[in-house]
Amino acid sequence: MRVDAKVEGPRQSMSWLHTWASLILGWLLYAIFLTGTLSFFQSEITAWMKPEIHQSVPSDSQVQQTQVALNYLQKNYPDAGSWSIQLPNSRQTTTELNIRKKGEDLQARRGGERITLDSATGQVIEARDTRGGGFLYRFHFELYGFDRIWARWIVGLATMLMFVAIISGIITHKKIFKDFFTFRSGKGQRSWLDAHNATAVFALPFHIMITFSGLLLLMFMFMPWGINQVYKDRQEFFQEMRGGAVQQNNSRNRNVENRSVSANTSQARGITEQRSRGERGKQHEQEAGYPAPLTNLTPLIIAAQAQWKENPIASIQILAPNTSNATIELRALYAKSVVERGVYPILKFDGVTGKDINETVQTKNASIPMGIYNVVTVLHEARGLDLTFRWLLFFSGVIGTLMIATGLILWCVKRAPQQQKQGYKSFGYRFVEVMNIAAVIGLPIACASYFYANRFIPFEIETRLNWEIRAFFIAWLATLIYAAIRPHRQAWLELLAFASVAFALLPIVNFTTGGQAFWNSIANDQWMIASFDLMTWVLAILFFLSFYKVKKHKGLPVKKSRNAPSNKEISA
Amino acid sequence: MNSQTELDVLNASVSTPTVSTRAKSAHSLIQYRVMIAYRFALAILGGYLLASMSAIVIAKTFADYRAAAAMSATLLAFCIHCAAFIWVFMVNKTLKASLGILVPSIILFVIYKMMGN
Repeated sequence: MRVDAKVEGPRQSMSWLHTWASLILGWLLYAIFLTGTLSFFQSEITAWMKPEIHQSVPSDSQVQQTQVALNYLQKNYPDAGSWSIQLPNSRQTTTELNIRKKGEDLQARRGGERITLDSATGQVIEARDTRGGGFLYRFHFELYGFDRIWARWIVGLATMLMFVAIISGIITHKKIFKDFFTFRSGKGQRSWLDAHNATAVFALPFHIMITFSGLLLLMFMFMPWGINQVYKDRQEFFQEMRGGAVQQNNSRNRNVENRSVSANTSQARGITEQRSRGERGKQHEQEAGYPAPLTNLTPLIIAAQAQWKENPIASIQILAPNTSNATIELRALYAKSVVERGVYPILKFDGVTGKDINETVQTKNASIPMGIYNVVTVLHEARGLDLTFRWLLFFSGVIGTLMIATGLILWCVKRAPQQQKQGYKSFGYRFVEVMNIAAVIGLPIACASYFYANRFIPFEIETRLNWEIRAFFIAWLATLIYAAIRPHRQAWLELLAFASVAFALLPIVNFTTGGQAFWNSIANDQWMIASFDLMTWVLAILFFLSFYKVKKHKGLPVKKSRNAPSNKEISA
Repeated sequence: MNSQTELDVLNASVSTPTVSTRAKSAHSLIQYRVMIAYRFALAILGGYLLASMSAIVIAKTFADYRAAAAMSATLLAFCIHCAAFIWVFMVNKTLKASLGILVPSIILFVIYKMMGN
């Protein structure tokens, strides 16, 4: 792809393609990667942004936690159609209740009354109105303020370009294995290239998985043609996608998952609608029934714990409580395997006698293409994975984000000598410089301001939820303007310094504005709150080190031009 | 990417072309930009067309396996799009790139029509 149309080898043309295909939507990709990576800890972010729920320090025993919830339910909602109790776990500090009236559709995704309880005292907690981590999660595949369909197509195009960039990057890259162990620091362009390569290769399987599954998760929108050929009614496909697991999943409690994956695709919606249709018949049988006391749940919980061992109980659903038709369903926290989507260990008991009424369901093995689809999408969404795995995915996401950042900066570094020779910065070059600053450092600052807004916007303001999001975008825009009006090097330095201060202060803001202080959250074993605070410090240190590196950097060794040379060493 | 040649490649893509007259350079630069824009359009839209056609044909061919056919057609379609995208930029001649996308798409369309509904 040379201007002079000279014939190039495949590797050279791939190098060109890698550069330009990545640059077009590189900033968008960076934003998608960063917000997507944060979404792995969506619940943690939401919990941090609702300081009211920090006070809930659950007891260690799940029997006791259940008892607290049951006491509340028996006292306030004895005649409900169903109770659903989500017990606290390592990613949830409170007990979440969902109560549905008699005759209400028990399987509908929304509906019923949601109540948050302090897991230890059983008090109702009214948390502030916030989108929490959900905003970042939504942003990573729907952006914000666009028409949803358009936004998804834009993200889809960016994802395809990412996929192309990864594959063309691999083709360009000659000595993957040897280079992986090579890092030459402090050598300008060479170091940037090494850093870009190392981050790319280190988490390559993750990069491929996350990009490919990103396309697959929205496949009903991007590529429905093959499916439409075989299935006239898409519902049938959803049914078969769930394969043999259909029956087992029928009446499980989907509240936990659905909240986090809510409306991921039209696909998810389709499945639920269909499920609920099938369920209605069943429900009618349950409505008739005479009052009968609920069995004691303690032995059931102990039985489940004995069977599941390391896998704690996530939720307890009681259908038709206090009647002769009562059934109790216990569901485990972690999925059985990643080859099947959303299959969790489940135990069912009779609600009056406490007898085990599990149906043995023969699960059919997923076919190979289904298996591939399930594995990559389950990993992408980290559904039902334990914390260790989640952290691994998170760090891979961080590495991916760094890969994009180093790549974007490398584009500038590579062209800096030429710009210097020419004596002035051409418009295109300056544009990329400014956009790089606004994206790479501007987005973290925008996130920080989102967290600050969460704590400082008064409780009473009706549209505080919107103002939090506005704060995010205002801060982002401000960094863009700032980057445009300041000299390049100064803009980097000042924004890096600003970001490190902003993140360093977050844990302090946390406990001064009603959150659980980190020493308390660590002492209470509330790691989901503590890790947020600690992570902001890690980020602050990272930004400070980058600041220090840029500060120390002398610029290009050749004669200095009037414009500050554009070398910075963020992750070097 | 550490070998010297690869750095050269990187630098080569940076260096400005040495064309004798300014007029000629302006002309060829516009031509070049149009060619690049065309290739991107070809890679994105043409690649998508090829991928969709392959998805349709694959799904139809293996329709007996229903779920597996629909899923593998979709999985492959994304890979085909990516491969086509890369191919468009790997080929030197723009005409060859265009034909390489269009001809297979037409062939797949013919196959699809021949299979009937």
